[in-house]
Amino acid sequence: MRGVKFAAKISYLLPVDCFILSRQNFGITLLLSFSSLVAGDPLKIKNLIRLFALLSCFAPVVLQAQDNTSHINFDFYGDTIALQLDPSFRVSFNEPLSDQSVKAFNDKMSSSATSRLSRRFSRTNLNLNWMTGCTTSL
Amino acid sequence: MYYQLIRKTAQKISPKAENYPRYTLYKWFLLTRSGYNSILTVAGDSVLFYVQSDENIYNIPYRMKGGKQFVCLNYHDYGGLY
Repeated sequence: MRGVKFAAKISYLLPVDCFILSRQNFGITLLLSFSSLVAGDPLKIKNLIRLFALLSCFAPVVLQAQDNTSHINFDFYGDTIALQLDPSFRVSFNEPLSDQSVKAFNDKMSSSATSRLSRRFSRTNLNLNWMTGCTTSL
Repeated sequence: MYYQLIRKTAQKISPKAENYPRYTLYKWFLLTRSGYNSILTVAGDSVLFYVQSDENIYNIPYRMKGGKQFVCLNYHDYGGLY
């Protein structure tokens, strides 16, 4: 999604005609209008060079952003469950077990991006939870 | 059934054999965030994971808290020591 946003910004910033065609696995694909390539206008050719230079700057950022997300797949009673995990959801826990270390783990998990998503879609928020007013105890 | 989904997800994120406390904490976190009333008890190197259940369940440790029954879900992982 970031790649698409970058491309959208680029398309507004640069004077050449470019359109977002599709988002591939490793970045973005731009469709440049044919007139920009062959018109022979020095200004447009210069702009085209600018575009490629700018894209080469953003490409590592886009690739890095995509590599950070991890996917997990597993079979669940015949159905394949596929989840996309934000790296912030992977929290280390190497401390000795104690109230403090468990609280620290909970704090890290609560601040993760996936946790915000889980809160949004939690059963409580969907009013499907039959246990009202439940609390968590350590 | 839902717990099995949580268990498998936690296993994928943090395998049980790799770091058992973390695997248990993931289960606890996911189940709690799903709206279930759960409890963790820490005793030494052990962490026991309970979830509220009003059903009659036999041969599994439970504890009462606030008049509610909490059943231990990872009792078997400790070989029935408790």
